[in-house]
Amino acid sequence: MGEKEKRKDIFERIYDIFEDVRQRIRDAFEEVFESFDVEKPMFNLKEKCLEPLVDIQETEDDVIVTVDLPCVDKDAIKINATSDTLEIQATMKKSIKFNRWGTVQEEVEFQKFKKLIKLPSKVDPKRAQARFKQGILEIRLPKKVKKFRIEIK
Amino acid sequence: MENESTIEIVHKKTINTENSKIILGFPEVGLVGTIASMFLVETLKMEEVGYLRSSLFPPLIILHKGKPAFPVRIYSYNNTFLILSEIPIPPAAIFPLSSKIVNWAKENKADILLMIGGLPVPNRMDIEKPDVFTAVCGEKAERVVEQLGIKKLEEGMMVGPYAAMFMECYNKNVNAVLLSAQAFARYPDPGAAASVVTVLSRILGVDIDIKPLLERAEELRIRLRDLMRTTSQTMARMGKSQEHGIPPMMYV
Repeated sequence: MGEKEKRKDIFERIYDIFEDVRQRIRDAFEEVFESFDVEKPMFNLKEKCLEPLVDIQETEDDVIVTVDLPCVDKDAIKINATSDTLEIQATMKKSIKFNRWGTVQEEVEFQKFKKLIKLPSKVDPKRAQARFKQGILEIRLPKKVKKFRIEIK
Repeated sequence: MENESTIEIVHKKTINTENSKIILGFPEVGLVGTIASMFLVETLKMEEVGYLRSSLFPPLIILHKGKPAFPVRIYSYNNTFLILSEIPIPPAAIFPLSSKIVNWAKENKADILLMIGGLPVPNRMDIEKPDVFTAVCGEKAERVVEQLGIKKLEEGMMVGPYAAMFMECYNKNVNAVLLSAQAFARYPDPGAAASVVTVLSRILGVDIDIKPLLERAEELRIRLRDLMRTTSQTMARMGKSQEHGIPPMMYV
Protein backbone atom coordinates (compact mmCIF):
# COMPACT_ATOMS: atom_id res chain seq x y z
CA MET A 1 0.00 0.00 0.00
CA GLY A 2 1.44 3.39 -1.00
CA GLU A 3 1.82 6.37 1.40
CA LYS A 4 -1.12 8.17 -0.22
CA GLU A 5 -3.48 5.17 0.23
CA LYS A 6 -2.32 4.72 3.84
CA ARG A 7 -3.17 8.37 4.65
CA LYS A 8 -6.52 8.03 2.96
CA ASP A 9 -7.17 4.90 4.96
CA ILE A 10 -6.38 6.68 8.26
CA PHE A 11 -8.68 9.59 7.41
CA GLU A 12 -11.50 7.20 6.51
CA ARG A 13 -11.09 5.41 9.84
CA ILE A 14 -11.10 8.70 11.75
CA TYR A 15 -14.23 9.76 9.83
CA ASP A 16 -15.89 6.43 10.70
CA ILE A 17 -15.06 6.90 14.39
CA PHE A 18 -16.56 10.40 14.35
CA GLU A 19 -19.62 9.16 12.49
CA ASP A 20 -20.05 6.39 15.03
CA VAL A 21 -19.82 8.82 17.98
CA ARG A 22 -22.27 11.18 16.26
CA GLN A 23 -24.69 8.32 15.73
CA ARG A 24 -24.47 7.22 19.39
CA ILE A 25 -25.23 10.77 20.54
CA ARG A 26 -28.21 10.95 18.17
CA ASP A 27 -29.50 7.58 19.44
CA ALA A 28 -29.17 8.67 23.06
CA PHE A 29 -31.13 11.87 22.36
CA GLU A 30 -33.81 10.00 20.44
CA GLU A 31 -34.17 7.47 23.24
CA VAL A 32 -34.69 10.20 25.83
CA PHE A 33 -37.18 12.10 23.68
CA GLU A 34 -39.13 9.01 22.61
CA SER A 35 -40.00 8.30 26.24
CA PHE A 36 -41.57 11.77 26.48
CA ASP A 37 -43.17 11.66 23.04
CA VAL A 38 -46.59 12.99 24.02
CA GLU A 39 -45.27 15.96 25.96
CA LYS A 40 -42.56 16.87 23.48
CA PRO A 41 -43.59 20.08 21.71
CA MET A 42 -43.65 20.01 17.93
CA PHE A 43 -41.84 23.33 17.61
CA ASN A 44 -38.64 25.09 18.59
CA LEU A 45 -39.17 28.82 19.10
CA LYS A 46 -35.46 29.60 19.38
CA GLU A 47 -34.66 27.99 16.04
CA LYS A 48 -37.98 29.18 14.56
CA CYS A 49 -38.64 25.68 13.34
CA LEU A 50 -41.53 23.24 13.39
CA GLU A 51 -41.41 19.48 13.61
CA PRO A 52 -43.33 17.99 10.70
CA LEU A 53 -45.76 15.09 10.96
CA VAL A 54 -44.10 11.88 9.85
CA ASP A 55 -45.38 8.44 8.94
CA ILE A 56 -43.17 5.37 8.59
CA GLN A 57 -44.28 2.20 6.82
CA GLU A 58 -42.30 -0.95 6.18
CA THR A 59 -42.62 -3.40 3.33
CA GLU A 60 -40.59 -6.56 2.90
CA ASP A 61 -37.93 -4.67 0.93
CA ASP A 62 -38.29 -1.00 1.82
CA VAL A 63 -38.79 1.50 4.59
CA ILE A 64 -41.17 4.18 3.30
CA VAL A 65 -41.14 7.51 5.11
CA THR A 66 -43.62 10.27 4.31
CA VAL A 67 -43.35 13.77 5.74
CA ASP A 68 -45.98 16.51 5.72
CA LEU A 69 -44.27 19.70 4.52
CA PRO A 70 -46.83 22.42 3.77
CA CYS A 71 -45.59 25.85 2.61
CA VAL A 72 -42.43 24.30 1.17
CA ASP A 73 -40.99 24.10 -2.37
CA LYS A 74 -39.16 21.00 -3.57
CA ASP A 75 -35.83 22.83 -3.94
CA ALA A 76 -35.90 23.96 -0.31
CA ILE A 77 -35.79 20.42 1.10
CA LYS A 78 -32.56 18.85 2.35
CA ILE A 79 -32.47 15.16 3.11
CA ASN A 80 -29.55 13.41 4.77
CA ALA A 81 -29.63 9.70 5.39
CA THR A 82 -27.46 7.16 7.16
CA SER A 83 -28.14 3.45 7.41
CA ASP A 84 -30.57 4.00 10.29
CA THR A 85 -31.51 7.68 10.41
CA LEU A 86 -33.08 10.25 8.16
CA GLU A 87 -32.66 13.96 8.68
CA ILE A 88 -35.12 16.33 7.02
CA GLN A 89 -34.76 20.10 6.84
CA ALA A 90 -36.96 22.35 4.75
CA THR A 91 -37.22 26.12 4.54
CA MET A 92 -40.73 27.52 4.10
CA LYS A 93 -41.46 29.72 1.08
CA LYS A 94 -42.61 32.43 3.48
CA SER A 95 -42.40 32.53 7.23
CA ILE A 96 -45.58 31.65 9.06
CA LYS A 97 -46.72 33.93 11.86
CA PHE A 98 -49.12 33.11 14.65
CA ASN A 99 -50.47 35.90 16.85
CA ARG A 100 -50.91 34.00 20.09
CA TRP A 101 -49.04 30.76 19.95
CA GLY A 102 -49.78 28.07 22.56
CA THR A 103 -48.59 28.62 26.09
CA VAL A 104 -46.18 31.43 25.19
CA GLN A 105 -49.14 33.62 24.14
CA GLU A 106 -46.91 35.77 21.98
CA GLU A 107 -46.53 36.39 18.29
CA VAL A 108 -44.26 33.70 16.92
CA GLU A 109 -42.78 33.08 13.54
CA PHE A 110 -41.66 29.84 11.96
CA GLN A 111 -39.36 29.60 8.97
CA LYS A 112 -38.48 25.95 8.56
CA PHE A 113 -39.22 22.32 9.33
CA LYS A 114 -36.69 20.03 10.93
CA LYS A 115 -36.87 16.40 11.97
CA LEU A 116 -34.48 13.58 12.74
CA ILE A 117 -36.08 10.20 12.19
CA LYS A 118 -34.80 6.93 13.55
CA LEU A 119 -35.51 4.22 10.99
CA PRO A 120 -36.97 0.88 12.10
CA SER A 121 -34.53 -1.17 9.93
CA LYS A 122 -31.06 -0.74 8.47
CA VAL A 123 -31.27 0.74 4.99
CA ASP A 124 -29.01 1.44 2.06
CA PRO A 125 -29.22 5.26 1.78
CA LYS A 126 -27.37 5.29 -1.56
CA ARG A 127 -30.29 3.54 -3.25
CA ALA A 128 -32.98 5.74 -1.67
CA GLN A 129 -35.50 7.54 -3.87
CA ALA A 130 -37.58 10.58 -3.01
CA ARG A 131 -40.50 12.44 -4.51
CA PHE A 132 -42.46 15.51 -3.43
CA LYS A 133 -46.09 16.08 -4.34
CA GLN A 134 -48.90 18.13 -2.79
CA GLY A 135 -46.61 19.15 0.05
CA ILE A 136 -45.88 15.55 0.99
CA LEU A 137 -42.35 14.18 0.81
CA GLU A 138 -42.05 10.44 0.24
CA ILE A 139 -38.72 8.69 0.66
CA ARG A 140 -38.34 5.05 -0.21
CA LEU A 141 -35.26 3.47 1.39
CA PRO A 142 -34.32 -0.08 0.36
CA LYS A 143 -33.57 -2.28 3.34
CA LYS A 144 -30.03 -3.53 3.83
CA VAL A 145 -31.01 -7.17 4.13
CA LYS A 146 -29.29 -10.06 2.48
CA LYS A 147 -31.75 -12.63 1.34
CA PHE A 148 -30.92 -16.27 0.82
CA ARG A 149 -33.06 -18.56 -1.20
CA ILE A 150 -33.82 -21.78 0.67
CA GLU A 151 -34.55 -24.78 -1.42
CA ILE A 152 -37.20 -27.25 -0.33
CA LYS A 153 -36.02 -30.82 -0.58
CA MET B 1 -76.43 -0.65 25.10
CA GLU B 2 -73.90 1.58 26.87
CA ASN B 3 -74.40 3.89 29.79
CA GLU B 4 -75.28 7.06 27.94
CA SER B 5 -75.98 8.88 31.20
CA THR B 6 -72.25 9.58 31.33
CA ILE B 7 -72.80 12.05 28.46
CA GLU B 8 -74.90 15.18 28.84
CA ILE B 9 -76.22 17.34 26.00
CA VAL B 10 -76.54 20.90 27.27
CA HIS B 11 -78.71 23.33 25.31
CA LYS B 12 -77.65 26.96 25.62
CA LYS B 13 -80.80 27.93 23.74
CA THR B 14 -84.13 26.31 23.05
CA ILE B 15 -83.68 24.37 19.87
CA ASN B 16 -86.04 22.49 17.63
CA THR B 17 -84.47 19.62 15.75
CA GLU B 18 -87.71 18.34 14.21
CA ASN B 19 -87.09 17.36 10.58
CA SER B 20 -83.58 18.74 10.86
CA LYS B 21 -80.32 17.48 9.45
CA ILE B 22 -77.64 16.80 12.03
CA ILE B 23 -74.03 16.89 10.84
CA LEU B 24 -71.34 15.16 12.88
CA GLY B 25 -67.72 16.26 12.46
CA PHE B 26 -65.28 14.35 14.63
CA PRO B 27 -61.47 14.24 14.40
CA GLU B 28 -60.52 11.11 12.53
CA VAL B 29 -58.68 10.23 9.31
CA GLY B 30 -57.01 13.41 7.94
CA LEU B 31 -59.10 15.48 10.38
CA VAL B 32 -61.55 15.75 7.49
CA GLY B 33 -64.63 15.99 9.73
CA THR B 34 -63.09 18.66 11.93
CA ILE B 35 -61.75 20.81 9.09
CA ALA B 36 -65.02 20.61 7.14
CA SER B 37 -67.05 21.41 10.28
CA MET B 38 -64.93 24.40 11.25
CA PHE B 39 -65.21 25.71 7.71
CA LEU B 40 -69.01 25.30 7.76
CA VAL B 41 -69.30 27.13 11.10
CA GLU B 42 -67.25 30.01 9.74
CA THR B 43 -68.79 30.18 6.25
CA LEU B 44 -72.44 29.74 7.24
CA LYS B 45 -71.92 31.82 10.39
CA MET B 46 -73.48 29.04 12.43
CA GLU B 47 -74.59 29.87 15.95
CA GLU B 48 -73.36 27.93 18.97
CA VAL B 49 -76.47 26.53 20.65
CA GLY B 50 -75.12 23.91 23.02
CA TYR B 51 -72.36 21.53 24.02
CA LEU B 52 -71.72 18.02 25.23
CA ARG B 53 -70.03 17.25 28.52
CA SER B 54 -68.83 13.99 29.97
CA SER B 55 -66.45 12.60 32.56
CA LEU B 56 -65.28 10.29 29.76
CA PHE B 57 -63.82 13.26 27.87
CA PRO B 58 -60.36 14.53 28.85
CA PRO B 59 -60.37 17.36 31.41
CA LEU B 60 -59.91 19.99 28.74
CA ILE B 61 -61.41 23.35 27.93
CA ILE B 62 -60.83 25.45 24.82
CA LEU B 63 -59.99 29.14 25.27
CA HIS B 64 -60.94 31.38 22.38
CA LYS B 65 -60.68 35.17 22.58
CA GLY B 66 -60.30 34.76 26.33
CA LYS B 67 -63.55 32.83 26.73
CA PRO B 68 -63.81 29.15 27.67
CA ALA B 69 -65.64 26.72 25.41
CA PHE B 70 -66.40 23.01 25.66
CA PRO B 71 -64.48 20.98 23.08
CA VAL B 72 -67.60 19.20 21.76
CA ARG B 73 -70.14 21.80 20.71
CA ILE B 74 -73.46 22.08 18.88
CA TYR B 75 -74.04 24.72 16.23
CA SER B 76 -77.10 25.58 14.20
CA TYR B 77 -77.95 27.18 10.88
CA ASN B 78 -81.62 27.30 9.84
CA ASN B 79 -82.81 23.72 10.23
CA THR B 80 -79.32 22.20 10.22
CA PHE B 81 -77.37 21.28 13.33
CA LEU B 82 -73.70 20.48 13.57
CA ILE B 83 -71.92 18.62 16.37
CA LEU B 84 -68.23 19.48 16.18
CA SER B 85 -65.46 18.01 18.27
CA GLU B 86 -62.06 19.58 18.78
CA ILE B 87 -60.80 16.49 20.61
CA PRO B 88 -60.47 12.93 19.32
CA ILE B 89 -63.27 10.91 20.91
CA PRO B 90 -61.65 8.68 23.57
CA PRO B 91 -62.39 4.97 22.94
CA ALA B 92 -64.25 4.68 26.29
CA ALA B 93 -66.63 7.48 25.26
CA ILE B 94 -67.48 6.16 21.78
CA PHE B 95 -70.45 3.92 22.63
CA PRO B 96 -72.08 6.17 25.26
CA LEU B 97 -71.66 9.18 22.95
CA SER B 98 -73.12 7.37 19.93
CA SER B 99 -76.05 6.14 21.95
CA LYS B 100 -76.68 9.61 23.38
CA ILE B 101 -76.56 11.43 20.04
CA VAL B 102 -78.69 8.90 18.16
CA ASN B 103 -81.31 8.87 20.95
CA TRP B 104 -81.28 12.67 21.04
CA ALA B 105 -81.80 12.76 17.25
CA LYS B 106 -84.63 10.20 17.42
CA GLU B 107 -86.43 11.73 20.41
CA ASN B 108 -86.26 15.17 18.82
CA LYS B 109 -87.51 13.80 15.47
CA ALA B 110 -84.45 14.77 13.45
CA ASP B 111 -84.65 13.86 9.78
CA ILE B 112 -81.19 12.45 9.12
CA LEU B 113 -77.66 12.20 10.54
CA LEU B 114 -74.81 13.21 8.23
CA MET B 115 -71.40 11.97 9.33
CA ILE B 116 -68.40 13.52 7.64
CA GLY B 117 -64.91 12.03 7.60
CA GLY B 118 -62.01 10.67 5.64
CA LEU B 119 -61.27 7.39 3.92
CA PRO B 120 -57.57 6.52 4.26
CA VAL B 121 -56.08 5.78 0.85
CA PRO B 122 -52.42 4.86 0.38
CA ASN B 123 -52.14 6.69 -2.98
CA ARG B 124 -53.59 10.01 -1.75
CA MET B 125 -50.41 11.80 -2.93
CA ASP B 126 -51.35 11.01 -6.51
CA ILE B 127 -54.98 12.14 -6.20
CA GLU B 128 -55.59 15.77 -7.15
CA LYS B 129 -59.27 15.94 -6.25
CA PRO B 130 -60.39 13.35 -3.70
CA ASP B 131 -63.57 11.40 -4.41
CA VAL B 132 -66.28 11.10 -1.80
CA PHE B 133 -67.70 7.70 -0.93
CA THR B 134 -70.77 7.01 1.09
CA ALA B 135 -72.34 4.45 3.37
CA VAL B 136 -75.99 4.63 4.36
CA CYS B 137 -78.43 3.40 6.94
CA GLY B 138 -82.18 3.62 6.27
CA GLU B 139 -84.42 4.07 3.22
CA LYS B 140 -84.51 7.85 3.32
CA ALA B 141 -80.72 7.93 3.49
CA GLU B 142 -80.62 5.63 0.45
CA ARG B 143 -82.77 8.06 -1.51
CA VAL B 144 -80.59 11.04 -0.51
CA VAL B 145 -77.47 9.28 -1.76
CA GLU B 146 -79.14 8.08 -5.00
CA GLN B 147 -79.89 11.69 -5.92
CA LEU B 148 -76.25 12.64 -5.39
CA GLY B 149 -74.94 9.91 -7.63
CA ILE B 150 -71.84 9.27 -5.52
CA LYS B 151 -70.07 5.97 -5.06
CA LYS B 152 -71.09 3.68 -2.23
CA LEU B 153 -68.71 1.77 0.00
CA GLU B 154 -69.94 -1.71 -0.84
CA GLU B 155 -67.47 -3.88 1.08
CA GLY B 156 -65.13 -3.09 3.93
CA MET B 157 -64.92 -2.30 7.61
CA MET B 158 -65.57 0.84 9.59
CA VAL B 159 -63.90 1.42 12.93
CA GLY B 160 -64.38 4.28 15.37
CA PRO B 161 -67.08 6.75 16.43
CA TYR B 162 -68.91 6.68 13.08
CA ALA B 163 -69.01 2.87 13.14
CA ALA B 164 -70.60 2.96 16.60
CA MET B 165 -72.98 5.66 15.38
CA PHE B 166 -74.00 3.44 12.46
CA MET B 167 -74.68 0.53 14.82
CA GLU B 168 -76.97 2.74 16.90
CA CYS B 169 -78.74 4.15 13.84
CA TYR B 170 -79.30 0.67 12.46
CA ASN B 171 -80.59 -0.54 15.82
CA LYS B 172 -82.93 2.42 16.35
CA ASN B 173 -84.09 2.93 12.76
CA VAL B 174 -82.50 6.33 12.35
CA ASN B 175 -81.50 7.47 8.86
CA ALA B 176 -77.79 8.16 8.50
CA VAL B 177 -75.35 8.96 5.71
CA LEU B 178 -71.58 8.75 5.97
CA LEU B 179 -69.66 11.02 3.59
CA SER B 180 -66.06 9.94 3.47
CA ALA B 181 -63.47 11.57 1.20
CA GLN B 182 -60.24 9.93 0.08
CA ALA B 183 -57.68 11.32 2.53
CA PHE B 184 -54.24 11.11 4.06
CA ALA B 185 -54.64 8.95 7.15
CA ARG B 186 -52.17 10.80 9.36
CA TYR B 187 -51.95 14.29 7.87
CA PRO B 188 -54.56 17.05 8.05
CA ASP B 189 -56.27 17.01 4.67
CA PRO B 190 -58.13 20.25 3.77
CA GLY B 191 -58.43 19.03 0.14
CA ALA B 192 -60.46 16.03 1.31
CA ALA B 193 -62.52 18.31 3.56
CA ALA B 194 -63.28 20.51 0.53
CA SER B 195 -64.60 17.47 -1.37
CA VAL B 196 -66.87 16.57 1.54
CA VAL B 197 -68.17 20.14 1.84
CA THR B 198 -68.99 20.14 -1.89
CA VAL B 199 -71.21 17.06 -1.51
CA LEU B 200 -72.66 18.27 1.77
CA SER B 201 -73.67 21.60 0.23
CA ARG B 202 -75.79 19.68 -2.29
CA ILE B 203 -77.56 17.76 0.49
CA LEU B 204 -78.17 20.96 2.46
CA GLY B 205 -79.21 22.89 -0.66
CA VAL B 206 -76.80 25.71 0.18
CA ASP B 207 -74.14 27.19 -2.10
CA ILE B 208 -70.77 26.98 -0.37
CA ASP B 209 -67.61 28.27 -2.06
CA ILE B 210 -64.71 25.95 -1.13
CA LYS B 211 -62.05 28.29 -2.55
CA PRO B 212 -61.31 30.00 0.81
CA LEU B 213 -60.77 26.58 2.38
CA LEU B 214 -58.31 25.52 -0.33
CA GLU B 215 -56.50 28.86 -0.10
CA ARG B 216 -55.92 28.31 3.61
CA ALA B 217 -55.01 24.64 3.21
CA GLU B 218 -51.28 24.98 3.94
CA GLU B 219 -51.82 27.15 7.00
CA LEU B 220 -54.44 24.70 8.32
CA ARG B 221 -52.04 21.80 7.85
CA ILE B 222 -49.55 23.61 10.08
CA ARG B 223 -52.08 24.68 12.71
CA LEU B 224 -53.64 21.24 13.06
CA ARG B 225 -50.43 19.21 13.51
CA ASP B 226 -50.92 18.71 17.25
CA LEU B 227 -54.55 17.63 16.93
CA MET B 228 -53.55 15.26 14.13
CA ARG B 229 -50.87 13.71 16.30
CA THR B 230 -53.21 13.05 19.24
CA THR B 231 -55.92 11.84 16.85
CA SER B 232 -53.49 9.37 15.26
CA GLN B 233 -52.63 8.03 18.72
CA THR B 234 -56.33 7.65 19.58
CA MET B 235 -57.10 5.98 16.23
CA ALA B 236 -54.29 3.47 16.87
CA ARG B 237 -55.80 2.65 20.28
CA MET B 238 -59.22 1.94 18.78
CA GLY B 239 -57.80 -0.35 16.08
CA LYS B 240 -58.52 2.00 13.18
CA SER B 241 -55.95 0.20 11.03
CA GLN B 242 -58.42 -2.68 10.69
CA GLU B 243 -60.16 -0.56 8.05
CA HIS B 244 -57.30 -1.43 5.69
CA GLY B 245 -58.11 -5.13 6.08
CA ILE B 246 -60.35 -7.23 3.92
CA PRO B 247 -63.40 -8.39 5.86
CA PRO B 248 -64.47 -12.02 5.91
CA MET B 249 -67.22 -12.30 3.33
CA MET B 250 -70.71 -12.46 4.75
CA TYR B 251 -72.00 -14.57 1.89
CA VAL B 252 -69.44 -16.54 -0.05
